[in-house]
Amino acid sequence: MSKRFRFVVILVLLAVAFSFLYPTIKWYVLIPVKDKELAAGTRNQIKLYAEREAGEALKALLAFDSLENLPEEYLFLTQSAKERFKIEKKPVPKVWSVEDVLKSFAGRAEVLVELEDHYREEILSLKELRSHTIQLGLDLKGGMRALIQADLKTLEESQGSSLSPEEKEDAIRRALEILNNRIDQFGVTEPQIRRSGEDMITVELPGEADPERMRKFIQGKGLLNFHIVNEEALTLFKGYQQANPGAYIDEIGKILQPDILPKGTILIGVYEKDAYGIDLLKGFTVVNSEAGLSGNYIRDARVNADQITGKPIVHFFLTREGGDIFYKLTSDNVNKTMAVVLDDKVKAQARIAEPIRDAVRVTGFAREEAESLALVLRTGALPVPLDIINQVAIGASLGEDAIQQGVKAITYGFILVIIFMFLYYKGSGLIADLALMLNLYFIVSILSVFNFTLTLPSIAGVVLTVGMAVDANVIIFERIKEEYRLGKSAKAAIKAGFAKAFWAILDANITTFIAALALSQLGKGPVAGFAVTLAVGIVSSMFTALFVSRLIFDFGTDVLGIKKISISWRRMSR
Amino acid sequence: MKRVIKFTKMRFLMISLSLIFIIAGGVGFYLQGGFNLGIDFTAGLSQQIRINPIGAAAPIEKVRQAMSGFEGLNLQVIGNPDNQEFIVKVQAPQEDRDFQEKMEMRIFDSLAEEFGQANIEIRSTDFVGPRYSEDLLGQTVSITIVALVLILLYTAFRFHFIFAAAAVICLLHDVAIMLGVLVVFQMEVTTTTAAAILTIIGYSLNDTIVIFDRIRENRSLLRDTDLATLINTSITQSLGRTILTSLTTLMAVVSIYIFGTGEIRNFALNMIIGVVVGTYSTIFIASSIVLGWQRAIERRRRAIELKKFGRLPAGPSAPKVEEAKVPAIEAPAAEKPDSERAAIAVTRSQPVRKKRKKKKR
Repeated sequence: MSKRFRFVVILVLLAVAFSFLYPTIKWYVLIPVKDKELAAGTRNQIKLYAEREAGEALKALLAFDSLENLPEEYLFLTQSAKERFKIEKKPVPKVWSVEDVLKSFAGRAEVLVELEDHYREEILSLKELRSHTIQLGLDLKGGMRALIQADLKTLEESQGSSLSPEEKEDAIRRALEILNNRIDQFGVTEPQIRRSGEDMITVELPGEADPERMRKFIQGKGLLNFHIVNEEALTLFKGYQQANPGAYIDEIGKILQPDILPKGTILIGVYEKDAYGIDLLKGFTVVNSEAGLSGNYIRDARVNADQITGKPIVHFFLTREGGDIFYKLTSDNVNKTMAVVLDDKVKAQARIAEPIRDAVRVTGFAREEAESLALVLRTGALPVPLDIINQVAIGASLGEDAIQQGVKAITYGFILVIIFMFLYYKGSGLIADLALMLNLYFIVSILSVFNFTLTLPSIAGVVLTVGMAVDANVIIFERIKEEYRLGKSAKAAIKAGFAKAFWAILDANITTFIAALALSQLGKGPVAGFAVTLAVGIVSSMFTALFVSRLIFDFGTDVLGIKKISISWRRMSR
Repeated sequence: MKRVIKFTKMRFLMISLSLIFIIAGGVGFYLQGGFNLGIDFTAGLSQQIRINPIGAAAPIEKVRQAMSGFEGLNLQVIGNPDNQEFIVKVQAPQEDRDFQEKMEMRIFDSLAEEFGQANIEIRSTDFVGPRYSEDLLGQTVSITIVALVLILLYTAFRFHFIFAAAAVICLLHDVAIMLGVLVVFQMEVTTTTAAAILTIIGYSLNDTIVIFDRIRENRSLLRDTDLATLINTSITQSLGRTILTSLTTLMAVVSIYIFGTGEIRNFALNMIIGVVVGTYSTIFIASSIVLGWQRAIERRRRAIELKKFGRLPAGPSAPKVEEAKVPAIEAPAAEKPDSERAAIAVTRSQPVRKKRKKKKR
């Protein structure tokens, strides 16, 4: 390979690495803290935020003198306005006034939608950006993690028979449903809930360090209830909502003026699953605060297909006692809407067509909606007891200490090694130092593109890599020195040194890599993070030593015509 | 060339030294009643607590007194005692569902009574249930074994089986000494310790392989030398590199040790011990095992031949067909079959084979 080609390869890799690294730099340096917090929130919180911002923006726009030029922060509105102007074949104005823009919309509601979309997209794009950055682990920013196991044994005992694999799977899904449903109770931070293995669930709550809250979050079965929608109160609420766009509820979805609603009714959010299976706030409804029937009376819920139309039907069955209560409830409320409420969230609504006893059919859903409703109903029928089997809580102040420790350890370890290499190897030491810096750069960029979570152990992995990464360079330098002592020319000594060091470096690094891979299988926790950084470090240090250092040496001998290698702290006897 | 240091001459001394260390570890294990297992392996609750404000008179004795009612509770000061920061550990009994909640409250209440509720800052809480800890211990052991087997396979593939086995024995030696130090000084064994041990396995192996590689290379260059000289030459030639790499690694690890606290500091300490032991075993133990093993094979072969033919054959047996094809090079060896001249057919590596072919032409 020619030197030019190798140089281009290195440049390309540097550029690629920078593109990996850029989102992380942008996220930590350029984006204000407030926006970062918003982006860390749940989708529902983002929706509420966008709605509120849109309401305020509309108010501000209306307050402007209509002939005034459109302020810069609202210029995004002109894009769609331009298109509407074109459709109506009106001349597109060069300078947009507030009036021009607003008039292009059919009404206030449309402006509101456009504004809301804009603010939501703004935060969602930040969320997207965040998924390409290095994140700080709980031990660095503070927070809690719990590993939860579904107690299937107790479930089997209460059911009186052993569970089939499908039933076990369903039990875990019910538990996940309930946990996901409770996500919103945690202010701004976005909890992570994911399955770990067959019967376990991992919950992570960044920023929270009170184990008590985690317990509340996890324990206690989901509260499933049937409520009757209060139509009159709903009409009142809708009027209030229209009069105060974007400013009728607070951050956690509580109505700002509770006296709008009649006594005995409450406002609750209506949720639907989005494409990712995450609950998304669709709107609000008002129900009688007293539950018509508790979910404890549900015996089972299944999805069947309608024999004639093939459309999905959710069938659910109540206990005898529950059937009596339900019959009374449905007789009193024929033609009214009934809401299925799980932990204060409306999961489904249906109109009551006739009085019903213990076998209920609900129709009018798509297949997936039906499946998800049946799952919700089963959470009431078969609660899954959950046990915390591992829990870690780290206060934010401890996290800050940890970051400082990590940064100091990296900085000082790095500086020590760099100075040492220069003192010992002189000029060649500088080449090793450069390779070392590139190495760190590549490691961070690779971690960044994989959205790696940086923990204290993984920082230790980086520090250790720094110490071990010079090894490849040391092996090469020692060989070059030997060849040089034998009286070879600089160029020949370098060539022979690299050639002879190659297999030693490869064998040594592959075996270490095997150890790192094995380590990465050790749990999902801190040790795995350490192993990943170590493995990435091994690959990157081999590249920088064998490829980058070599090019610099070749450049020195071939282009600059250097005849003497500066590679030792003492004079070399030849 | 530099003067060759006769490392193999010291091998009986060094192996004895290692054995003494390992036996001391075993005795320590017996006397101390086992490892000081952290809660990840034993199940329990661990909390890092600070008494605020700093400078309030809350020495550890007072904390100890406040918590004297607890059974099997372990209290450790973290960092500078003036920071009034410490770790409390309690083991969890089998299958007690409310253990975590109850114990957290008890710890908090006892401290609050002594120092006032507002002054107690729970900086971290770590709870491990019994089921989790059992899984983890099993997982750690099995992963270490899998890693060793993989390493054995790769090394056997790249070198000769004797070299691979020697490398793995050497790793077991490092692990045994590290565990010995852990048990004698009752340092805490956690998942982080497991990480340190596996890292040292990788590190020490790295060291050993570099020397084996040199032996392989020298074998084709110095065909007239016996195995002991070959080993000594190779170790001497690589000595600079071995020491330098250990130094830079130590610099990094010591930096973690100085600036870290808690578990990371433990990790760094384990690593420091491991790097020292690993370097020592690379220089004194690994190649000695190869030498001893090879000589044992040689002796056994001689014994068998002696029994069979009543005399020694003309030369050392050639385990490789291709070597037997080159009688001119084998001849000097056949003339003086002394015990130092063990057969050094130890490689299957590609590059070396190529070189030999060139020589034949």
